[in-house]
Amino acid sequence: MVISFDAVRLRALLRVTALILARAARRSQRLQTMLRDEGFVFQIATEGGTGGHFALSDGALRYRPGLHPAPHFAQIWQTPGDAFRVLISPDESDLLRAFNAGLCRMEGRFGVALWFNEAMKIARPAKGRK
Amino acid sequence: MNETPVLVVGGGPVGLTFALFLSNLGIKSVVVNERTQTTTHPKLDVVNCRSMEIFRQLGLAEAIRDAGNPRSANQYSAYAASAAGPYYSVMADRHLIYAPVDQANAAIRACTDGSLPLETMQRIAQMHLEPVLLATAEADPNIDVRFGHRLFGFEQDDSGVTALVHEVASGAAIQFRADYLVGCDGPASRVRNFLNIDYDATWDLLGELYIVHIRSDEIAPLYPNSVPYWHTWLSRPGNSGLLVSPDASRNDYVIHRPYPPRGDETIDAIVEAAVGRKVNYELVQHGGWRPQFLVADAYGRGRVWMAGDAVHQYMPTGGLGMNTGVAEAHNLAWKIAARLQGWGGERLVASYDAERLPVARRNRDHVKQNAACVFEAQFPRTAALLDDGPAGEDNRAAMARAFETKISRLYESFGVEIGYSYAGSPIVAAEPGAEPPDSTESYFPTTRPGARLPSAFAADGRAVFDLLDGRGFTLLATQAVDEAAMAPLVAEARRVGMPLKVVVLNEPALAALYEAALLLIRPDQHVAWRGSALPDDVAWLVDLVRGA
Repeated sequence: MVISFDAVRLRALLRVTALILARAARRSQRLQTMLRDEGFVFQIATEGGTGGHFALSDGALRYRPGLHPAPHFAQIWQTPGDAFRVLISPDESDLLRAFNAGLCRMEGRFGVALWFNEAMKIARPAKGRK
Repeated sequence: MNETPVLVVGGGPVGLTFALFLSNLGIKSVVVNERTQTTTHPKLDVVNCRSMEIFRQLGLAEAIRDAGNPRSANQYSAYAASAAGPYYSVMADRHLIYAPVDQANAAIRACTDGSLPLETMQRIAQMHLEPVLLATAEADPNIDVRFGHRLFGFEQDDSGVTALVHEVASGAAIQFRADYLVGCDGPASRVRNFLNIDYDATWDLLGELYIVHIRSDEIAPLYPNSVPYWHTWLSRPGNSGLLVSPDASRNDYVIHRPYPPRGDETIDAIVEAAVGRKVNYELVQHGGWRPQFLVADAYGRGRVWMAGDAVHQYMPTGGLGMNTGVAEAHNLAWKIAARLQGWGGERLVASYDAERLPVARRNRDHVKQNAACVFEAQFPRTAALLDDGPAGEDNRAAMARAFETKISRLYESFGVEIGYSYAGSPIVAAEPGAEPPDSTESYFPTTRPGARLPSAFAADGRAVFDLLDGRGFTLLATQAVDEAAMAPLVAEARRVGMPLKVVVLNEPALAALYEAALLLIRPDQHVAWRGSALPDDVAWLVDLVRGA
C-alpha cells in the first residue's frame, strides 16, 4: 500500500496538534476549564480512511491515530491535501468554504468543532485577541 | 460641573430603554452618545417576547409595532436554495412565534395556563426601533439626551462618579457628577475598559462573516402574496447563508454569508445567489464582521454598571443581543432608582450582577448551540440536492427535517426568552424543593421565587401584568384575603419607604396557576416571595427583597 505525501503530512499535523494542545493545557486556565466539559470524540478523516481522533474524557484530551467507530463530530475530507491545507489555515472561514465547495462533509455535533476551534485558538495565541 | 442622578453612556436601544425606565421610576438621567444619529443599518431584526412585555410596561409596545412589520404580516422562517426556491421547508404555524401579530394576540388571549408571553415578538429592524425610543426619550423631561457626546473618562468614589464627556464636534469638555454611571456603550465599551473587566472566553471562533444590505422591489414578489418571509435560510451546493426581510412592508433585505467574498466574487454574485435570479437593487452597505460568544467577567462595581453589548457579545443566532440588554436595563433601573429614593438597601444594586450574569452565560450557551445547529442543518446536503428524481427529493426532505429539528430552536425557545430565573439571588426568598427543569427551549410556568410571573388574564380581561406596579412592589393576592392579614407588610413597606401596591384577584383559576395565595412581585415582574400567608417577621422579608 502506497501512502501519499499528503496523507503523511495530515497524520503528522494531527500528532503535532495533539502536542500543541497538551502544552497549551498546562499553561491556559481557560483550556483547563474547557477540559472539564462534557466528553466527546472529534474525528478528522479522509474518504480514503486516513485520519485520527481526539477524545475528551476525564479532564484530558487524548489523540489516537485511526478511525473511531462513532465520533460525536467528524470532518470527512475528499483528499488529505485539502484537509491539510484547510487545517493549517489561519482563516477560520476556510472550513466552511471547503464545505460549501464540496471538499469535505461533516457529521455530528458542530458544537464539538467550536470547542476544538477555541482550544486551537488558545494553543496558538498569536492569532488571538486580547 | 453638571450634576445628574444617573449618567447613561450609550444611546442605543439598551441605553435609551434604561433611561426610560429610570424616568418611569421618577429618576432623571443624562444620556450621552458618540454617534450623532440613530443607526442606519438594520442590525437586529427582532424585539423578542420578553422585550415586548417590558416595552409594554413602558407603554411603548404599540408604538414599536407601528414602526415594524405589519401586524397582519407573517414572521415565517424558511429553508431554501434561494428566495426563488426551491423551498425545502417553511416554518409557519408550528409555534406562536411565526404567526402574524394579530393572530398571535388572539392565541395569547385564549391561553389560560400561563405558558405564553403577554406579548408576541415583533419583527423590526433596529434602524426603525431606535427612532421610536429616541423620540420618546427626547420628549421625556426626565431625560437629557445628548447625541454627539463621547465619554472621555471617569473616576468613582464612595458617593458618586465624576465623568468627563467631550462634545464630538467641538471637542469641548463637559464634567458630570453623577450618583451612578451606567455604560450601555456597546461591544467596544469604554466603560468596561476603564473598569478593566475582561471577557470570559475566546474571540473569533467562527472567523469573519459577511453582510450585505440591499433595497429591492423585485424580491417580495418571489414570496406568496408578495409578503416576504422574515428569514429565508439558504443552502445549496456552493452557497449558504441567510436572507432577512426585517419588515415585510419595506424593501430592505439583509444577506448574511458565512465568509467574505474572495477573488473575483462580486456583490452582484452574492445577491443573485441569495435571490436565485438577477434583480435590480440598491446596494446600501456591505462588509465583514466577527461574531462572538463572550460574556464579561462582571457587570460593574461600586457606582458604575453596564448593560447590553458592553457586557456580552453574541452571534445573532436567536436574537438575544439587544433583547438580553433590555432585560438587563429592566433589572438594573429599579434597583438604582430604589437606592436614589432611599428605600433600596446597600446590597440591592450589586444583586444586578448576581442575577443577570448567570442569565447572560445561559443565553450565550444557547446562542452558541443555535449557531452549531445552523451549521448542522446543512450537513445532510449532497450534490444531488437540486436534482429531479428520488435522490434530489430525498435530499430535500432530509434538509427539511434538519431545518425543523435544528434551526427551529432559534425561534421556538420560550425557555430562554421568559424562562430565566433569579433563584439563588441574594434578594429573592429561597424556597425549599426542586426548581422546575431548566430548559432554554421549553418554558415551564412557575411562581417559584426568582421566576418571571407567568402571564395571565383576570376574569374581566385585564392582563395581570398591567395590574402590577412598575414603580414598586406588588403584593398579589389570588384568593379573598382579609385586609388585616396584609396590613403588617403594607405597614413595614411604608415604614421603609418601599412602594407597595396591593392587588386582590379572588379567582380560583389564577390561584391555581400562581400556586400561592400571596405573591410579592418586584417592579421587573419577577417573583420575590410567595406563600400561603405572610411570614411572622415581615421586616425580614421587606429587608431581603430591597437588599437591606
